[in-house]
Order: sequence, then C-alpha cells, then structure tokens
Amino acid sequence: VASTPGKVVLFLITLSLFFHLANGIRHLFWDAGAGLETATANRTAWAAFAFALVAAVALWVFLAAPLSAG
Amino acid sequence: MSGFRTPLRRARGLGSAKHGVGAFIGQRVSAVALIPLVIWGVAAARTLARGDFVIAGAWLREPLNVTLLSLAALAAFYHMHVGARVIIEDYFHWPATKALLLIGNFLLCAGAAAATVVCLLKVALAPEAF
Repeated sequence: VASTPGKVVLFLITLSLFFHLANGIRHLFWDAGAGLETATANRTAWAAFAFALVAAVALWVFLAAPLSAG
Repeated sequence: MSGFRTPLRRARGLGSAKHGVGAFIGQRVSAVALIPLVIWGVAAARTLARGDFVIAGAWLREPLNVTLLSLAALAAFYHMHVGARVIIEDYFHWPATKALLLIGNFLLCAGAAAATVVCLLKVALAPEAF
C-alpha cells in the first residue's frame, strides 16, 4: 500500500490490534480475579493505551527505516 | 392463543440453557491462543512488508508458517464470531433482528475463515513458479 490514506488506515488497524491485545490480556487477568481494584484498573488502562501507541509507532518507524538498518 | 397456556408452560424454557458457558470458555481459549499468534504474526509481517510477492510466497511455502497463519486466522475469526455474538445477544432484543444478525454473523465469520484458509493454501501449495 503506497497511498497516504491507505497507510493511515493500516496504521489505525495496527493501533487497534495492539490495543485489543493489551486490553484483552487485562480482561484475562480480571477473569482470574486479579487487578480489579480501582487504582490498579486505572493504571493498567493507561498502560494499555500507552502500549498500543508505543507498539504501533515503533512498528511503523521500523517499516519507514531504510532496509540496511533492519 | 398464548392465553390458553398454563403459567408453568409459559415459564418453561426461559431459564438458563445450561450450556452458555461454552462460548465464554471458547472466547478465553481463543484469546490465549491469539496472544502468541498475533505477536508472531506482527513479527512476520514486519519483514514481509518490505519484500515483494515472491518473498511472501516463499515464506508461505514453509509448512510451519502456513500452519501458524491458518491457526491464527481460524482463532481470530472464531474470536470475532463469539465477540460479535455477545454484543448482538446483549443489545438486540427484537427476536427477528436478533436471529437475522446471529445467522449473518455466523455465516460471515465462517465464510471469511474458509476463504482465508483457501487463499493461504492456494499460495502455500502452488508450485515454485507461482
């Protein structure tokens, strides 16, 4: 995919995928009865947002870098 | 007509169907399976995105790669089916709408899963010159 709108869509897909992954792991911990306290839940919520953003940006920075660097 | 039914007859069948936990467990099992599969898939896509179709075809001809990618697709479409099903069951209360959406959800997910696996196998089993 070469067009800018296409790349924006692909970036948003990876962002959603990483957020879903992080938040899904959060839900699995809740199913086990862990991390349900309000303070912990708030912290893990922000951690999920942060992970999604960092992972998606890192992936696209890697893809944008010249081949020799990879 | 329903007025002729006894209160007991009307109440019967409205309780738990006693097998609802299957979808709940299936959702969690597919979630656990998808954690390593998605991480592996992203790592693979990272290198494949920089190559052309020939490189991707050669990668997909590795038996381990098609196997894992097919498993990832099947687990993901199953996960998607159960997730959408829970939303439909929770938020659509008119029986006809609910039934139509549940049927459509199943057919869409099953069709997408079948089509994905066929596409993967078509490339994976094609001769080298493909």
